[in-house]
Amino acid sequence: MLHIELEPDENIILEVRKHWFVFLGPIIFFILCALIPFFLYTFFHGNASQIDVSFIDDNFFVLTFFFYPIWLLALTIGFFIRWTDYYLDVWYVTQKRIIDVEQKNLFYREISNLRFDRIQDISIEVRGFIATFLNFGDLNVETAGEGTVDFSIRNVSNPERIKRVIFAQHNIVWDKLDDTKI
Amino acid sequence: MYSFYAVAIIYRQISKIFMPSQELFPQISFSAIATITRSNLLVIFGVVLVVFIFFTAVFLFHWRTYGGGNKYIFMAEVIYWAISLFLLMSMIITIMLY
Repeated sequence: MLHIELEPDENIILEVRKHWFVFLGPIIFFILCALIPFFLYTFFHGNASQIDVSFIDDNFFVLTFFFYPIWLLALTIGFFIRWTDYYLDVWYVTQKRIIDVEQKNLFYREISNLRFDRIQDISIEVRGFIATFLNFGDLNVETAGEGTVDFSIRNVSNPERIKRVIFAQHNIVWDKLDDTKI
Repeated sequence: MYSFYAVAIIYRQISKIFMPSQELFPQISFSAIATITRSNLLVIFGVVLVVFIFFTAVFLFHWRTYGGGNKYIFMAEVIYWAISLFLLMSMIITIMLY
């Protein structure tokens, strides 16, 4: 069940989300954070002559099996906060409009609509070797009229295809408007 | 991104060059660890559980309301529950064995 209200004759044609590569950085970050206790142990073990290590007994190792999962649980929660923020940023392209859903953080969500008859131009920007190789980039939809905000989404997969779909729907809407004028 | 380990190694090398006669750390004692009791662990576990329940409720609300029945949301939920329950169980077992 979708949380957005669609009109009776409206269906979602395309869901546009950010490329998976964008989330690789946070994944690596959280993996490194999970390994920090091992780095700390290696570092302090190397300086054992300066640290009283008599506390390292059976109790200590049992306690590590208690406190280390707490650290991992905190990282898991942090990871899923980032993932939720990443995954719930989405464009829904319907026959009539583009619905831009932006999850800015867990408790801040912005939803905007752009009708196809307001679209003036769509530009694509693909920067860098990895973006070119994996085919992801930024999509910017310019709107007509003063005081209106352009729609943009960054690092989407296959932006050229999304542009074609939006332009196709845009042309259909304009053809219908021309027919009604005649 | 520098790992914590890399930073520590660099710090050690610099300290050896510029402060060869000084000890890297003052004497550090962790004897307080010996005073941790099972009830302390239970209190800590209780706090962790409350925080976990709060964030789980937030995640489930967002995933069920805004996920749209997506298969990736379902997979994320499964992974989240699997990891979280495993970690909580390991804490419970540790408390029982302590």
